[in-house]
Parts: sequence; C-alpha cells; structure tokens
Amino acid sequence: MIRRSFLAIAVLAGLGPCLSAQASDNPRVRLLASTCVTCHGPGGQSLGAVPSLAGQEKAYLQEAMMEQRAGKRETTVMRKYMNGFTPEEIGQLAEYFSKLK
Amino acid sequence: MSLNRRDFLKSSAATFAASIAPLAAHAKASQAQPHVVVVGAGFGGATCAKYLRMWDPNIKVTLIEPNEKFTSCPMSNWVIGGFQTFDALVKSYDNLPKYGIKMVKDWVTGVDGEKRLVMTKSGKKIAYDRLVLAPGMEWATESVQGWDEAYAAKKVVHSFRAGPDTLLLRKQLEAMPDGGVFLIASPPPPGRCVSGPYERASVAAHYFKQHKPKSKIIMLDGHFDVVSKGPMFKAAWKELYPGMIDHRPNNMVTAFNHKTMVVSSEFEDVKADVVNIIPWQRAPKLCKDAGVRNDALDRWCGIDNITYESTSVPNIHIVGDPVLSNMPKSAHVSNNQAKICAAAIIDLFNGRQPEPVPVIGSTSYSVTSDKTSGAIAVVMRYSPEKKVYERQPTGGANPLHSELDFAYGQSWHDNIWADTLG
Repeated sequence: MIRRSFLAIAVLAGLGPCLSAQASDNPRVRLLASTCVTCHGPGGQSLGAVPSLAGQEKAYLQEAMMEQRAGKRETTVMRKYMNGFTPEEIGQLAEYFSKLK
Repeated sequence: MSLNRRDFLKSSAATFAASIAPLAAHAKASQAQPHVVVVGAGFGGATCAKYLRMWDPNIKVTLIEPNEKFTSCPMSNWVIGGFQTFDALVKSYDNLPKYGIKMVKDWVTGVDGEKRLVMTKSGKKIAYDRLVLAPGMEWATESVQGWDEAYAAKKVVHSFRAGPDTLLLRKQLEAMPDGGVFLIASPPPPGRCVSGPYERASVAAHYFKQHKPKSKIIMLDGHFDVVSKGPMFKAAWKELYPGMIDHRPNNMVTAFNHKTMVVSSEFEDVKADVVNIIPWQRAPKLCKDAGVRNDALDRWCGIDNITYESTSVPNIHIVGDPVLSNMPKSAHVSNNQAKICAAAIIDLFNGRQPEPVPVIGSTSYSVTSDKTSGAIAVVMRYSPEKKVYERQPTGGANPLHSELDFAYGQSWHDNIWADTLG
C-alpha cells in the first residue's frame, strides 16, 4: 500500500520515467504488469492455483519467464504469453513483481 | 488505516500535482480534480474505475450501475451444467467505494457529448470531464424471426448474460425428458464469448451423460467450424460424450416458432425440446444515442486504439464488448482494455502522451466437464504502423483439455473477480 501510493505520487509528479530506471516507477511497466494480475491476482497475489508473483526473486522470475518464452519450461499458457513480450519487458516485469510484497 | 494513509497521501499528491501544473499546460482549471463518469460496473467498467483511482487518486470517479450486485458471465455455464450454484456467480460491489469510487445505482438514459452530461432514469444530470462507456452489449433480436414472442413465452433463452436466464435454462434442462433434443444456436461473428456455446454444449452433455443419456445436443453454428479451442473441444467431446453432440457449422439460425418448437436456419428446420438461441449482438442503444455507435453496420463503436476514446465524440471512451476491433469480446479483454483506457485518461489529464504501444492479454478457460477444462491465451500488441492490434506468435489454444487447466481456470475466475471488484 505504501509503495503503491508512493508510486502514484511519483507518477503524478511525472518523475517516474525521468528520474529512475526502476521498473516499479515506470508507468509503462506498471501498465504491462496490470495485464499479468488479471490471472495472477491483484498486486501479484493469487487466490488459487495460478502462482503468485509478488515478492519472488527477480532472477527467478526472469529466468522462469525466459525459459517459458523459449518453450524450455512446461507450461499451459505461459509460453503463449511470454512470446508477446520482449526480453527487456520480461526483465522489467520480473523486477516489478519482485518488489511487491 | 489504509484509508487514512490514502487520504493523507491524496492531499500530498494534490500538492505535488499543483507543483507540476506547467507540465499539464492544456489541462483546464476545472480539472484540478477532474471527474470521470464510468457507465456499467462489469469487467470493463469496474476495472476502469478502480484503476483510475489506484493510479491517480486525484481523479474523482463516479461509477453508475443499475444492479445491486455483480453477476459473472464467466462460470455461468457451470450453473447450467449443474455443478455450481448461482450464488457463486454473484459478487458484491462493496469493495469499490474503498478506492474512493462513488457508486451510483441508476440507469443511464442518455449522454450529451457536447455539454458533457450524463442523464439517468432517476432524473439526475451528472457532469463529466471524461466519460467511460462500458455497458456491455444488447441483443439484436430481429436477427431471429419469432424471438421476441418466444422469449416472452419463456420458450427460448439466450443465457448469455448471467441472471434469471441462466437458472431458467438449467430448469428447462432438468425438466427435459431423457431422449430429448437440446438445441444451441450461436450467431456469426463478431459477438461476445465465442467459446461460450461450445462450453455450454459440453456442460449439458456432462449433465445428460449422468441423468438422461439418450438425449442429444444439436448445435446450429453461425461460424464455419468450432472456431474457438476447436481441436480441444472436438477431442473432449469424442472422449467424454461420443455421439451426443451434433455440431453443424455454417448454419445460421434465422427463425424460431415456439408453438411448434421448430428452429429454422438458412439450410434446415430442427425440432427441439429445449431451445437456446444466442442472437446477434451490438453496442447498446445508449452508445447509439451518444453518437459513438458509428461503424458502417451501426453495430459497434470505433475507438482510438491507444486511448479508447470514441472516433466520433471527444471525451467519451468505450471499453469492452461495444468496441469495434479484432479483439475477442471477453471478460479478460474488457478488463485489460479498461486498464489501458484508465492509464490513457490519467495521461491525458496530466498533459502526457499515453502509452503508444498498449498490450492486451486474453486468456479464457472453457470447461468440458466438472473436472476438466481447456485454455486459450493470446497476447495482442498495438502496432502504430499498421494501426491494429497484432496477435503475437505462439498464442492460441491448448489442443487438449486437462484437470490442471481446470484448476488454473478456477483460479482465473477468483483472480479476475478480485482484480475487477477489489
């Protein structure tokens, strides 16, 4: 909650993309990440069998997504999803979700 | 606790916003706290209202919805199949006001795009800076001759907007004798939830197999094939319900005589015991009256693909089913469009360029029994060069249903409900 509100201020102030390269401050990353939470739960916290993303290690998330993208990791729908995102975006998403509690 | 903190931060945010006023050069004085009115609290409207407030607490948001509670279309086929209660589809709107959204229970009767006013049934006139229309779709019942009389007589259902029709169809299937015929007719594209009728055939077959195994399901399909999750459905039907589902493609229904219970398509007449015809759909009359239902066939609403603002009336945005596009008309797409629209509105109020390459995800799960489901997932990215959302590689449906996809599908419902309603 603190983070989200702080983020809102940073974005309101138009500072996000200028001052920081941090994924969580970047409105584009925040918008991209909002497509993930439809399935993975609000704030990246899932209510069921779909895995939660919030607070996972960045390196783990990034590696998992890149492997899914390449078809090297067994998935039901994630390979289809990951090929819709660039490797750079996948890195940003991994960082974004790693910073959520 | 969180509310207090939010309120405190809201005032801090307002201070910050004031300090960057020059950045928002063409934001008007009246937009010190701009007002967005959202019409319709479904997957599109409720999500848009919530994300507008989450991402910019400076925006005042009013959400107008006639229903006391939310009723989910996704999962409503489970009720028709007899393995879910109707109550499980019904969700409260109680969390939305916690985001600072003003909920108004009313029916919007008109929009004055020039004066930026929304008129309601109870006589309210609500002024907006920007309006988001998310009213779902309305039935073009004239596409099926005899529909209106048959519907009034409760001899035909659509059951494609979760509510009383969902339960009526369940009761009709329960009352149908063993050996009866259940007819499902789906309209030609575009329409809401293309896979819904195939899922419905599956859940009906699941019920018949246990309780009335001599019964048949005939699908008169306005599409050229089982167009969504086709291989998955066909394999599941062969495995679980051999010979029970008779799918007849390219077979658009044109008429229904409820006195004889004969359904007529372009090619044949079929007598049935229970009739489920899903008529053609279009953007609701409200969209037409507002001047935003503007395609050549007077069915859908043209939008700017980055802001979801109408191509004909400024300051009116449209999300969900009414949108003219190549995107599926689904809960997931409505939810994702709503976020892109919310982000764009925030950018526009703050004098910034909205995200030029929005990305839409679309996942849907269709059950094939009370234990199995099949998934489809597609990512669509907007191409500024081609001016269209393009499907990304490897997207599509899983070829087989599975118990794993059933578990993920169940979780998908819980998560999208929570994401939409708070």
